[in-house]
Formats: sequence, structure tokens, C-alpha cells
Amino acid sequence: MNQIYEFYPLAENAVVIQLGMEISGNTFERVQQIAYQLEKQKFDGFIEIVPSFTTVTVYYSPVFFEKKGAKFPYENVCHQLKEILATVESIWIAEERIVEIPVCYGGEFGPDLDAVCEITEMNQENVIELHCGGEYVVYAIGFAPGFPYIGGMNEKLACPRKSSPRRLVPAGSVGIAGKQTGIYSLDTPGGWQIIGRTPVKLFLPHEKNPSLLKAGNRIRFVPISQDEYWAVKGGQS
Amino acid sequence: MSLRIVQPGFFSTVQDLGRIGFQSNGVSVAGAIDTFAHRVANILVGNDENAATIEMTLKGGSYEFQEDTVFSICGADLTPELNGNPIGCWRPFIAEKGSLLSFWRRTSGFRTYLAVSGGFAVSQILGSSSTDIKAKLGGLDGRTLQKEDRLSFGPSSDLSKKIFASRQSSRKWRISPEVIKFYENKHCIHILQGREYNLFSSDSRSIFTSSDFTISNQADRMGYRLNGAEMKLDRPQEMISAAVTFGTIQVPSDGRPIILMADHQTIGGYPKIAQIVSVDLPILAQMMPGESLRFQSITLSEAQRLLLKREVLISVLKKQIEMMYR
Repeated sequence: MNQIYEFYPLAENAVVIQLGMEISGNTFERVQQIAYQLEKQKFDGFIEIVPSFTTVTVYYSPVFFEKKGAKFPYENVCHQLKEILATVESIWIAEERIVEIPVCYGGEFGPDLDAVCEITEMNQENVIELHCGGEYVVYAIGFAPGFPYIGGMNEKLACPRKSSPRRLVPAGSVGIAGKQTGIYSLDTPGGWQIIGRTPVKLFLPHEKNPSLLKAGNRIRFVPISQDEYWAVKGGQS
Repeated sequence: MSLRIVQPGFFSTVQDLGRIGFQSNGVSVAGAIDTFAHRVANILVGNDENAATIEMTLKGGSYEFQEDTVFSICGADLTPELNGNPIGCWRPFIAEKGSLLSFWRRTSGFRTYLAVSGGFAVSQILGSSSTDIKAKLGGLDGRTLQKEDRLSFGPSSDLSKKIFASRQSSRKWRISPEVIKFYENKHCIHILQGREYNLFSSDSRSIFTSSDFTISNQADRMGYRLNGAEMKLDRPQEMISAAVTFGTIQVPSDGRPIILMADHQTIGGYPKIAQIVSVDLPILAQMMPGESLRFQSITLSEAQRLLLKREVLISVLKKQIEMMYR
């Protein structure tokens, strides 16, 4: 283990492993490796993990870790994590998964596509082409069930949020806010510029893995027609 | 069908100890806000601590038992009555088929828990019965209880059956007031310093633990906004989102702290000034908008010691009840 990390407590049942202070490819890669190994090993007293941009938070049972070691639970769990980290970082496992997200751009599904064209001074074809041409990575899932924080949008597409948020943005809506692009996983209020909609469900509460996307996944947006949208949508439920 | 909702009260939902294991999918834990009251309510009727209860807020409503059962009410005192006779909280009762449980005036606390023998049986989503209102998940179709809803009961444990069978005995008992006295410590809510604590100005830091904050009207299962002194950072910070949890106190740019409650998001990007220690979260769960509180800083080892002590108390309580009905 030659890379630096730091532990700090979030609460009595949660310890954060901080792997870097800014968002970088290397830090993100380490987050994914550690998250992957912890999920796989699930040591006794382990509850769950929450990976994010620069951190992996580990929830644990303080009652279990009181018995497991000579010190108080936090120190005991840190000791265990240190041992795991020492082995984790010697081997990196590549588990690259590219998920294609079909998107029907513009029209009723993308009410802000024209506004985005105006702001970016591009025509619709260019906006769609740039948006589909990007290499995207899911940094984290959060904000709402199945909602991906996506990095990698072409900066030419950057747009400010709408001045007043919509009361309801339908699930599947694909939007732009600042330098980020995102996909709404639930019907929620929201202020992103909506350029299209995917028929694919991002949150599947009855599945064992309820989020379609996982942190670390790559994403490719694929343009589809309205007919194709309804074909996929209809085939789902 | 076993419990008929005659009047649902103000905000009543089915809850257990939460949806554990799916935060990496962005799914909130949800679950009972006052886990202590929820757990004790279950223990009193011989249930597993995770069994689903009804969490009622401020106004309880009224409910008809459609079969005989053992039940208990723990948490806020909303003046419960069984067939018009006042009954107390924090003890088990027997309800006969057709009896009516109704709640009236709130005399203390904010949320109360109704546990029945076997727990409320709703279909589990991602391993939990808890209602997540925002994601419309769990409980009854992910929503609050409505008039004429029916909730059935799960299978009773042996202990539950024994408690029920003891109905003829004249022995009356309840949880000792000593055990629930901690709910009164509103002016000493223990906190751990948050990750970003030292980024706040020294003035803000000293005010944080030396002045009162008031719970604002923006207080729900997701979070409590506080009124009081504004917490200022020394200089503006660009934060990178990371995990937040129940009891995390984060401060948005307006300087007004928000305490995250059971339905909190899984990750957040505001500076975290503090974390409320878990043994004190039930106190907060029972506080209403307008009530004031004060924070006191303790160490993590102390907080974990308090947590372990509370767990011992709960297991002793469990054992005593088992012995009583052996």
C-alpha cells in the first residue's frame, strides 16, 4: 500500500475512507477498486458502503466491533480496514461496463433542446451529436434512487440551469446543468435543461440491484426516434 | 384483515428499522425516526425489533382492531384510548376484536409508534417495509395511511402468544420512567465535530455550542432546518459530495444548519459542521417545530460508549420481558 488515504468518522456507525482531495482519474479508480473489494469481502460487522467521487464510506456495526479488538469500535474497524486496503491496492481488477442509454432527443421529450441550441449557438444536430459523442463515466449514485452523477460532458454543451425549476420532470428525462449532464431517475421537480428522454428505467425497486447504473460504469447515449422510444417503453412493462 | 384505519391522523406511515444495504444505489434508509421507541414498542409485544410499526406524527387518528392482539404504543403521548378508556404508553395491552384505538391531545413528544403482535405485514421492497415517501416506496404503496386502509398482522412469536395468554393476570407493568428520562435532555444534544467543522469561523464554532437553536417549520422526515445564529465558513469552499447520514448537520450557503433525518439523501455536498450522536437522535425525533435545543460536543469514543450502553439497556429489557413470561 503506497498510496495515501485517510480515515475519519462520519458517525458512530460509519467511517469514511478519503482517497484524494480532488476529483481525478486516479482517485476515482481507487474508489472503485476499494468499493469493489469491500462489496466482495463483506467482512463480519460490515453493513454497507457508499462510494462517491473521492471517498468510500463504510457503515459498520459498533456492537460487533466492540468485541473485535482491544480498543473502541472505531479504532477496531479502522484496523480491519487497514488490513483490507493493504491487500486491495496491490491488485486492480478491471470491470469495465459500458451501458448504452437510448435517448429520444427534442420534441415533447426535450422541451429545452431549442433553448440549449440558443445558449450554445449550435443547431439541434450538433447538440445531439456532441451529447452522443461523449465518453461518460458514472461517478456516484445518489441524490435520488438510481440517479447517476455523470462526468465527461463536452464543455461546449454547458448551460445554466433554468431560472425557475419545473414542478415535475418525468423520470428518464436527460438534462444539462452547468457542465454536467444527468438523467432523472424518478419524477421530481427540477431545474435542468431537458433535451431528451430515455425509455429505459434507471430505478428498478423490485430488482436485487435496483439501480441500473453503478458508480464506475461508462455510459454512451444513443439517439433514437419516437417510435423506437415507445417500442422500448412498451416492452418494459 | 386486521387493523382498519378509521382516521389516519396527520402523517401516519408504516416503518421498520429501514432499508439497509442499498445506499450505494441512491436508496434512502428511511425507517422509524425514533428507533428507540420503535424498538421498545416491538419488544413489549414480543416482536423482532425490526417488525413494522405505524409511525404517527402529531395527531394519531383512530384504528379498529379486527382481531384479538397484543399491542403497545411508545414515543409521543397522544393520549391513546381503547374503547374510550385512557391507556398509557410504554406497556403492552390486549385488544379484543372490534375494539377501537383512538388518539386525542398531544401531551408530549411528536411521533408515536403502534406495534402489534407479529408486526404489520406489507410487501417488502428491497428487504424493508419502511415507507419512503419521496421515492414512493414501501409501506402501503409508498404513501401515508388513508381512511379505510387495512393492514394485516404477521405471524405472532411464541413470546407474543404468551403475553397474549397472560391477559387474565392482573399484573400490570410498564417501562420504568428512568429508562425514558433521556428524552428530556433537549438542552444537551450531544454532537461529534463534523468533517468540515474547522472550516467554520471561530465565532461560528463557539456560538454553535453556546447558543440555542430552534427547530423551524421546515421539519420533516428528510431533515430539520434550524433557526438561530448563522454558521459562516472562514472562506467559501468548493465541496465534493460524499456520504451523509441520519444526524448529519450540514450548512448550506445561507448559514442555516440542516439536521438530516431518516429519509436523508445518501450523499450530500454541503459542509458538515457536526454529527448528532445516535443515542440522542430519538430526542430530536420527538421535538416539534418551535422547540429549542442546544448542542454539546463529545468525543467519538464517548459517543460509542453511550451507544453500547444503550444497546445493553435494550437487551436487558428484552431479557426481563422474556423472563416475566417464561
